[in-house]
Amino acid sequence: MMKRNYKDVAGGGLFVALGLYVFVSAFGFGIGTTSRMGAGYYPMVLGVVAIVLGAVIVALGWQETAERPRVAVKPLLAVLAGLIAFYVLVDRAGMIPAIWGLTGLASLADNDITWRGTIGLMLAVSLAAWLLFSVFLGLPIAGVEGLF
Amino acid sequence: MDLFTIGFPTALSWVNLLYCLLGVFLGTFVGVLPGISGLTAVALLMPLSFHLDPTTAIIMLGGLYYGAEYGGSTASILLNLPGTASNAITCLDGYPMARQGRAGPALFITTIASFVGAAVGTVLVMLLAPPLAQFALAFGSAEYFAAMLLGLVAAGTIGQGRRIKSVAMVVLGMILGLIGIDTNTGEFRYTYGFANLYDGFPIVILAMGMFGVAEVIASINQLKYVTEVGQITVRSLLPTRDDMRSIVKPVSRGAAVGSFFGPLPGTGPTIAFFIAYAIEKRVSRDPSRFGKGAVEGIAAPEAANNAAAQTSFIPTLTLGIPGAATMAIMLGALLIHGIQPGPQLIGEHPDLFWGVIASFWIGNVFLLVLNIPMIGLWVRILHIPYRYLYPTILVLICIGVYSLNNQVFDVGLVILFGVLGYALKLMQFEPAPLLIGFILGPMVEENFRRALVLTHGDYLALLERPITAGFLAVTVLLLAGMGWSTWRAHQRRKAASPD
Repeated sequence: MMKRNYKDVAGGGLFVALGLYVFVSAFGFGIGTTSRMGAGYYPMVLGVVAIVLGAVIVALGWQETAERPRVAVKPLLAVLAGLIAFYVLVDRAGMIPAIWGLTGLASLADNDITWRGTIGLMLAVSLAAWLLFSVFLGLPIAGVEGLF
Repeated sequence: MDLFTIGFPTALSWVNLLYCLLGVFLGTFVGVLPGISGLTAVALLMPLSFHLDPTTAIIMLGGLYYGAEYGGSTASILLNLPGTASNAITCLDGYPMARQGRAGPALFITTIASFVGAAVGTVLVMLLAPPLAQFALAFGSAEYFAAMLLGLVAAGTIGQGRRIKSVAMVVLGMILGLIGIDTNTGEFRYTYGFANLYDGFPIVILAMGMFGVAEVIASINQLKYVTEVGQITVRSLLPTRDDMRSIVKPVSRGAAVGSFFGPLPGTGPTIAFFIAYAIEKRVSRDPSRFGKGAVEGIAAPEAANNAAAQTSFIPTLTLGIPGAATMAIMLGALLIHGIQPGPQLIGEHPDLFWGVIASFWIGNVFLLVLNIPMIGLWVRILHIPYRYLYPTILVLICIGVYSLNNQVFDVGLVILFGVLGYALKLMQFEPAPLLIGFILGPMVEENFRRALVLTHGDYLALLERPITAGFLAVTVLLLAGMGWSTWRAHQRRKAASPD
């Protein structure tokens, strides 16, 4: 199998795709003329620049060899799950349950966690955050929705 | 002297002293801890700063920024883990010193070098910023456009990877900066019907996702702290007389290098750091000592990055052009407070400008105290396991972002940018240039379009303005140089690829 610098080939490809999207959509905003620019003129230019840069990055990477990037699957998924839990819970259930969801799920990413440590962390962080943000700084976030 | 009549009275008020201390304390804290950068910390505290007076806010955020540059060397020396990216080189000679039982003197020397660098940098801000602002008062839209374009291209020189990838990140930042209403035509661009995007989105959201979340994902299970750091007593800190004599010249050279690179748009402390180390190695009579615990190897770079951290405030406060990625966030903070950074800033808000500079002096003295007598505290902080730290960082990110507008939509954006940031990190695209593109992009567009209205669409008329033409010429030269270095690096890598 041929070796490539996949980081650059994939990354450059991403920029080409984004550039194409920006370029095409720019026409919807009205390009105008070079002396009287419409809202789409500057996005159009940026789109072209992104396509050119992306293409050069792909072309250079295609001729090189580099290690493939290693995705940290467990940290990525656990952190994502935790953040999504916060997103879902904060308005519906309040800050404290949202923090429990976030810290509990994100902790799963670590190789050395213990149940006791995680539960202690969930309680400590939620209490500290509630005291700091709601009590001390007075941010309008409910601790537990409908209760306090 | 405005520094003494306006600056110190402002900075010495109880509130400002307290927030300056808070800033440098937290700065040292995050600087010491690997896996959370000063930039993330500035972004984390920015939402809290909205409740403060703008001067107090910048004093605190500034303290956080330069405080992190001090703290960063501690983990480099004791654990061989850089606390911040710009301290990576301190590992090379600092860690061997620690292994030889000279951790104390290494910590002392980096603190002193940091202080001297910061002092030189602060003097330069005082001397250079007012005349530069005076000069920039004559700038029209055309000059601003050209200066900002130069800033954008220079941002592409950030980072150690391939230049063209950094330039691409600048462009990505500019594309993200398109989101929102176009001020000239009232057209909505890339808002997809979300009312939350009509005014674009704050730079903090981008920074928290691309830096904060991505940093956390990449650091989990990677940071293994060695717990055998041992005790560091104040007595063990004192360097020998020879040490002190041998760092005088390296510290001065480092401070000079840092002062030069700090104000250049886009370069900032990290580049100054690497160049200062390279120079020391070049001028040394015995370069083979480097990497084995040479004091010059920690003194010069530490002086350089602190000088650069201070001088990067020059273009930020006088032109509104960020000298480093963290400065882009600082600009965002000023804009939210309704203060337009630019040449008028010193005249219109002298208390802010001189108060912030006076706070540099106060903050750096605080840092000296925090870092020498209190070193034991920071060493103990290194014992906090990352598994307790990162969920806490994530909580701060989420609540900080939520509190911007009390909109869960913003948390969603952070998740999106976190994933994007991690993907780009894997492909070795530097996130710092992106922030500079994001803050400068909309300004470049606005100034360019305004300049063209004034010249009735005549491009050549822009080049007849000498300052504009000068900036554009430097920009073209820089682009040519970057193209050349990308091509040469490619040829080397191709030659190294067996194929």
